[in-house]
Amino acid sequence: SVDAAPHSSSTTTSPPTTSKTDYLLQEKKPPSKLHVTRGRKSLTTSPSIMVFLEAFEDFEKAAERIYLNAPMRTRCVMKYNHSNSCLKVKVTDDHVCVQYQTDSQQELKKLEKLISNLMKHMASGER
Amino acid sequence: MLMMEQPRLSTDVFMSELTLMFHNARTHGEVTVTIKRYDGRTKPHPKPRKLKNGKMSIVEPLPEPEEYSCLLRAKTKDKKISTVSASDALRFQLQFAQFLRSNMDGLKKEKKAKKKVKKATQ
Repeated sequence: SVDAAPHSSSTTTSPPTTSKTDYLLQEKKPPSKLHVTRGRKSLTTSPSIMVFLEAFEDFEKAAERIYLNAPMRTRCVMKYNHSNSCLKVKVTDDHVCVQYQTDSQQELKKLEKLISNLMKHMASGER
Repeated sequence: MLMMEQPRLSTDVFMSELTLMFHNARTHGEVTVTIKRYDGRTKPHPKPRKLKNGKMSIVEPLPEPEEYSCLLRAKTKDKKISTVSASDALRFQLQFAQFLRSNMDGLKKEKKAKKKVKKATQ
């Protein structure tokens, strides 16, 4: 299934070496798809970097954008862990992926509104 | 990977099963809920295939869906369930929203009093 984080080829770019010291001495190039200049935003073109967005407004806007762009392909995934009191929400269309995590009851209300809106739109006849 | 075909549940049964899942997962484990749009198709999108006489088969696209609905899936370590919510089932959507709010109650409630206590102890 697509939900498992795929190990894409962009995470390690160091070529295979013979000895351990050679590997350590070698300059490690950063993976090409890690957009360091963008801060910690996870709006990448492949779901290889799964970072959580900091601001809820960013997540909300990005989620709506993804859905409106491809309503049939987009899915919203919520993972709730009670013992860690953590809720993670992901919206993806298998090309772009945005994630948000929270442990706050207040943010749950915002997320629940967002998800209800999405569900309403999904069930309606609008394209 | 062996997967048992789960019959699609009615929304009411789905909600009760989901409640049970959340209840069982309070001590450990996670519950994953997926929401997706469903256009009611029962056949996959036809692909152009090579016929015996060398030509490609004519692909008739599936008819445009008249009604959309919402496909909901829930998963825990032990179990997978799914349901389809009809397009005019506003009642279900409200029920679901209420359900989320009430079941995901393990999240922290931020209170100003608590923050003050934190600052005092630091």
